[in-house]
Amino acid sequence: MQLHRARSDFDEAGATLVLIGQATPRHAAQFRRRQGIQLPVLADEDRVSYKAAGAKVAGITDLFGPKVIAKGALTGVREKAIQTRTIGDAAQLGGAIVVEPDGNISWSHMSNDAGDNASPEEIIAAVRDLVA
Amino acid sequence: MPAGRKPRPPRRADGLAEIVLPDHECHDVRLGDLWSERPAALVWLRHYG
Repeated sequence: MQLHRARSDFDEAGATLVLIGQATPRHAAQFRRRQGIQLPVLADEDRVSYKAAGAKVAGITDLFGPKVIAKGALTGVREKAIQTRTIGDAAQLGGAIVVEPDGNISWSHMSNDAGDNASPEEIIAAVRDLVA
Repeated sequence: MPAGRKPRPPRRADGLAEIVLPDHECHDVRLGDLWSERPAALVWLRHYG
């Protein structure tokens, strides 16, 4: 996972990096083991934080549009990753935010379709802009 | 949020701060504690699959 490989960059930039998924703690633990990641993973089975973060629930074209499928295939090849069984609501999209200690959200990228994800480099750049 | 509506991230994390979620070891984590001392990047996964 790209974010796992970039975790030291977040440490060096002075930021905490946390992943949040829409399932149980047991699923989160399985995800960490399967992906071989050491980042903290929070479990939000009820998607409370997704709603509070303004995350989008996808429509059909956000999930299966030609561009989305093409991007997903490219990512799969690049990451050598295979999509396994979906846990949670498949229409729930994710995203990323950077929060300052005073609670201000200095940067955000919430997904507009299933292939629209901020890269680790984009997130790190947002952190570095903040601490510079 | 109704399906298909554009994402609407907030400008402040006040609505997120009091949310408490369990981590992968079942320890409760208050989100606001994540950024109380230094910036935090929160990434919501689409799914664990």
